Amino acid sequence: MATLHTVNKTGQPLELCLRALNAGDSVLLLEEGVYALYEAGDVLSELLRHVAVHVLDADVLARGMTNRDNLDIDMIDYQGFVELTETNDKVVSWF
Amino acid sequence: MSQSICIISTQAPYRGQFAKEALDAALVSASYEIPTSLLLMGDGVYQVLEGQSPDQLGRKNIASMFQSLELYGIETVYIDGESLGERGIAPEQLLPLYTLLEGDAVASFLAQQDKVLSF
Amino acid sequence: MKYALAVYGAAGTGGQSSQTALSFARALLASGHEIIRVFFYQDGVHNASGLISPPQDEQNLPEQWQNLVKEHNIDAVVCIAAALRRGVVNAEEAQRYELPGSNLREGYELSGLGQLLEATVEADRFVTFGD
Repeated sequence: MATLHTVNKTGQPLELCLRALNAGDSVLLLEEGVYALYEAGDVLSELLRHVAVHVLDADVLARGMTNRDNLDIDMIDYQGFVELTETNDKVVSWF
Repeated sequence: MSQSICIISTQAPYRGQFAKEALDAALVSASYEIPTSLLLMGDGVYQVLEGQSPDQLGRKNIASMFQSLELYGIETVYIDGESLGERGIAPEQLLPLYTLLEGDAVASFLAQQDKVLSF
Repeated sequence: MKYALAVYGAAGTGGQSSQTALSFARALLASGHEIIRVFFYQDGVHNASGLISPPQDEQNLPEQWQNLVKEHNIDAVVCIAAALRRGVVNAEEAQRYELPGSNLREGYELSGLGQLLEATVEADRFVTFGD
């Protein structure tokens, strides 16, 4: 049972998400969670070591951000968000 | 066969209505005879700290609401051990209604659930 | 697939979750999925209020939600306990509690948490939009 984890803030939601991951899960950073791109700390590196990480383009663009550090993160739109919910068996939201 | 539901509660007890509304959801879920579990993580672990007396806040005691879970067949509350450790809380300081999940146990517990509701 | 959504925030409650949920709901429908229920809980109940009037040059989220609900005939349920606590009521509740007025938008139903749990179990996918 693969799970999609959505994370809408850095800090506690991101840290708790890391603890809840299983191999094969996916993570989607959205809303304020996209700031993880500029805070590339231990938690994000740890996430990237374990699972596929995506960011929602609308939230990244809104904040004037880019994937400036060339992190192994895939930028997706809402259609991509829908597809992630199709391919995973369930969704867990961290906020 | 009914699906299992896990309710994750991650907010401190008197922050808005998060804790109360998560408990309400757990009670309603169990009363529908859905296999229901409640998992406290992050600041959510403060909800079951013993000795809460929120009278001066004009609020109901969140910890005592946990006592009613048993009546609905929720006999244990799952708690992320790491969240306790980070806050320097010993398990003895909690209501005696919990099951500690240490390390990878949180992830494997969640993997077994059909649906997850977060609060 | 059948989806159920829970929305916990609204414009003015601090987060962005109502907008995110709305965009996600539109994308779901565009992909041919079915939304069996949207459940408005916690501060999300404000999305169903007819008394929210943002400035002209800002978007009106409650209105956009209502348009989506109407256009796609979505089962939109507002948690009654959360709504009463926050001043979102229909005429019937206004009368029951002797309140000076009602504000629930057309197309929404006030009901209990059972509707959330039922939709969660019935849906193939359940997504929470927390604030």
